[in-house]
Amino acid sequence: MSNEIIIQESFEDIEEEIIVDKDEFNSREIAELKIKANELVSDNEINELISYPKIKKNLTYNLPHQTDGALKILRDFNCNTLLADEVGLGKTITTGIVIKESIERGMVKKILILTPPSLVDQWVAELDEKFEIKFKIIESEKDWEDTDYAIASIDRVKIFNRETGDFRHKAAHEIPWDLLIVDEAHKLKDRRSIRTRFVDKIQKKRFLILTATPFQNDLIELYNLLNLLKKGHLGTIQSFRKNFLEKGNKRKPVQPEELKRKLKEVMVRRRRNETTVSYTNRIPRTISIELSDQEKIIYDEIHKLIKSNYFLSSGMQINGKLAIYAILPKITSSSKSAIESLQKIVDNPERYHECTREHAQKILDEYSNLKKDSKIEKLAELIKDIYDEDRNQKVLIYTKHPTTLKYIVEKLKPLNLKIVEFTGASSREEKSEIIKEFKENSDIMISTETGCEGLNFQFCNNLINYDLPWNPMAVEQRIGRIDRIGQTRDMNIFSLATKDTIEEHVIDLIINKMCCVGLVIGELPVILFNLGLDGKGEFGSNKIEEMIMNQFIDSKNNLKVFSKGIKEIEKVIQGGIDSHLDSKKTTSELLDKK
Amino acid sequence: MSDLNNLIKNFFLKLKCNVSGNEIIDITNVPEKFEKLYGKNAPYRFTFDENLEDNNTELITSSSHLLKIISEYLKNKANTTILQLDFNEEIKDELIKNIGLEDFKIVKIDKKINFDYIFKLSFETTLQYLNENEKIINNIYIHDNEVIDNFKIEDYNTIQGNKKDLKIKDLKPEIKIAKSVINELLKPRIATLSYKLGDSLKQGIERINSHYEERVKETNQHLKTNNTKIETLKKDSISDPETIKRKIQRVEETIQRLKDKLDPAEVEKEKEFHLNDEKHKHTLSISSTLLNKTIIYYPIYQLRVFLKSPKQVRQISLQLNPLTKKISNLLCEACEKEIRTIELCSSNHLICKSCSKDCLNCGTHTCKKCDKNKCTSCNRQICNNCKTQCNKCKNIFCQEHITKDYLTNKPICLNCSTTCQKCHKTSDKTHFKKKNNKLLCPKCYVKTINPLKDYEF
Repeated sequence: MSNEIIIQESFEDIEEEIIVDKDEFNSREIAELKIKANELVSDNEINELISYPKIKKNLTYNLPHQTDGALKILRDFNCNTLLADEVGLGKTITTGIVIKESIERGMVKKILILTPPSLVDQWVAELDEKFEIKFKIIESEKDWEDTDYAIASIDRVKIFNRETGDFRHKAAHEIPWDLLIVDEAHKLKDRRSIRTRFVDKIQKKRFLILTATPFQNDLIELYNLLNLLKKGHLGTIQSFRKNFLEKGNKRKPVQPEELKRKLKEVMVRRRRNETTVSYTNRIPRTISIELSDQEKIIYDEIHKLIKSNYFLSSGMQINGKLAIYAILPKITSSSKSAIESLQKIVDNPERYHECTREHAQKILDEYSNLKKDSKIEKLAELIKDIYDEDRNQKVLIYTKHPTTLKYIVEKLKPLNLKIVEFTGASSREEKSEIIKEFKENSDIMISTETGCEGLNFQFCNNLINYDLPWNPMAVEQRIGRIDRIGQTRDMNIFSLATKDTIEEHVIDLIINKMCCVGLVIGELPVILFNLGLDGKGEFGSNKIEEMIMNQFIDSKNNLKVFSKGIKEIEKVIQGGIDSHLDSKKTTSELLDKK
Repeated sequence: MSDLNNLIKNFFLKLKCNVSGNEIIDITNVPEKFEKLYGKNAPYRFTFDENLEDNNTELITSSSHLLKIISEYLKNKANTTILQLDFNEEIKDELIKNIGLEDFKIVKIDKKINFDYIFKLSFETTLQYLNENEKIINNIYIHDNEVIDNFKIEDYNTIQGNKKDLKIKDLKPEIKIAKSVINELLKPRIATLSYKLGDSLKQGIERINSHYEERVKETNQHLKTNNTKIETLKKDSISDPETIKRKIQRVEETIQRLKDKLDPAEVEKEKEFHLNDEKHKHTLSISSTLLNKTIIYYPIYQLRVFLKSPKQVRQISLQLNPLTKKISNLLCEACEKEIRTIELCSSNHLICKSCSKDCLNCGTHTCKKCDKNKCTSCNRQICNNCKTQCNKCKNIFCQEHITKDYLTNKPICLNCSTTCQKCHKTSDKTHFKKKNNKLLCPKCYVKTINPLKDYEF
């Protein structure tokens, strides 16, 4: 192949017609100013981030390690690098700055981001809100057409058809991308995997690989990752083995300094202690609720209804899982939302069988005689305790349902605290007003999780899960609102759990074993991604959520069986956490130790 | 004041902001739209001298964000500008300056205006390679489908033009010409950059080539080692034949795996892909944008000038281009060449020096156009005043070769006339008759026949 340079020449959008806007800005002076301004702008070399002032207002914090990192990636590596910052330093923000700057400087026109499935929406939201860049999510093969800024779940697009010998999304390989970004790229450590082959086949001028843990067990993983980035940089696999691997120890290089030097040529890595970022702890607090006898009856009846007495008007039983997925979260959120759901069953003879409606009516009758709502009383008690301890605190209460939200507002009124409500229905401006109100004047904010993705409440350190999503990513999102850079105090994560019910076990799994185990924000999604558990399951919900649902169904109201099943899930998660922590340790040993 | 300083000041003044100061510029009253784009609310305080930079004063350099924002703010402004060249000079003065009027005076000028156009096309070309960017601005002036080098709009007074004055709809031919000029202008820079990029590309290509060569070499070495192993196993006469067979089978499997891995076509394809990727990394992208098209128009005067001298009056037509000061369409009526001095022949022809002649009869001006004023008899050039047409043959004659028919009192040439041998008067010779061997005019002839009778004409 010749060394001849590819030259692409183009004249952009030249308007040949004479169109003159009636604008004072068409004068000779303006034309001269315009030409002069273009003449004087000199950005030949990247010495500063010209786009940063534009986006600074959208970023909560100005963190030097993020801007410095972006500048380094652009200036020293021309975006061909492995960004291996420690978890929690904001690789997404650093990458966002790189993307914005590259676009502003006209370096890139076509960008592709490949991320774990659970992070696609988060990337899209951050790039839009913070960097004002709209990325298109690739769902089907057709989506690749006419897309300049594309983002895809790597698991979705890597699908390989062995019969045809083609990738389903081979269209991605036909596009010459100016910038390819692969998030959590440690999954590319196996050079023979379909995922790695898919990435290697992408035409790319610039390649940004993101992972905090470029290797775990074997230095070959690191070799594979860097060989993807820069073919031959570490030689052939055999020469790498010969030059750097110690026999019998896959993790320890024989020439650590030489390897570090080679890595420095293609890698950017900063440790937390090199930055101004500090972290606080999440303290899980489960608040146990003792149900009254009357409530216990209702609880059991509800479970009976949805497990064995849930029929369509035709007499056909509604698919167990579907029924549970649809009704269980709502019916267990609060007494108010349960009543609302049950009433809908009773009022819909066209859809529900008579026996189902009768059963629902029976529960409604029980509700009408209910003397107390233990859950809401416990919440009021908890809030009182929090404010008894320190009157100047803020509390963020989460619920899944707007009905429950209204109910909580109503029931907390007697406490004489200032409460603001926050739902997805608010406009952007209204949201800003509500946040301001919460920060400056109110004591409590009650929110549905759909309302405040991406918002920051680091001035509050008490979070109450009135009900708990069974999707750990959703819980992580909730906690993520207060666990942000700028949080100065340890955070109390309260979760209300009905005693001797499945809730206790679910909360233990999600809160105590996943979201509050001392991981840094951003680590849980990586662990679930590594375990292949961050995507959607068979029924379109999060895989972990479906695993819990399945345990619920299979346990047939037997708490012991359910608990055993949850323990199994816990084991898998713990394995993932251990493996991740191990990767962190080995990575740090190789890359950070002097 | 530096260009940068000037630009910033003028820009904010155009935005109708309050601008004050010189070395440090304070700007207030900035439109919200600009503040939003800049991401920073006014007041602004800028300096261009790094010694004056402090916490409250932003240093502006050519790589500052502000400049980029100004450029962005103006991006869709002034895409098309229409300007009219403003000429203040009086047409009469221009004519006096540019035409030798001799003893003529301009009595009156009738004026009709057509417009001519010059197109200024300003292109910004960005040369993007690796992580570097270069910008080049080119202003191309085009007149009559040709690039002109000696024109700069800055040298002229202009007024805002009116689209209604334009007789053109688009600039397709001009843009086409400008594009080819831009391509020519960029060639030297492209050559330099290609050389620079070629060096870096060479390193990348060498790295990839050597990686694949090494890989093939290593795999071949493995194959060789395994083949040797088989040979050695085959020679083994001590071990159990079944064990040897199994061992050979295992080595053969390894060989097959290695062969699969080394499929030359696949390796070559993979290598080509990465080489191609490396080439694309070193692409030089050149993108040109038309920043502004300025249509400059100016009048071309079609004039009717009324001239008067002590002897003559004449009206002439000409064209005056106030931009080039060129007078055109003022032609010698004899040779049709451009003239700069007003000269009229006796026939009132506008003539040039080379077409001017003297009348050989009276010495006054005549011209080539007056060539028909030649005496048929002696062939001498004569002026209008001196020419006479023979009433009989209708030819032109000088006064020496023409006379008067005493009977008709009309001019008659010597060829057409003769003299009566009796009365010695001249008349049309066709009317003469012979009597007694003498040629007599009709009058004398009649008298010879009847002395009492007079000839009646």
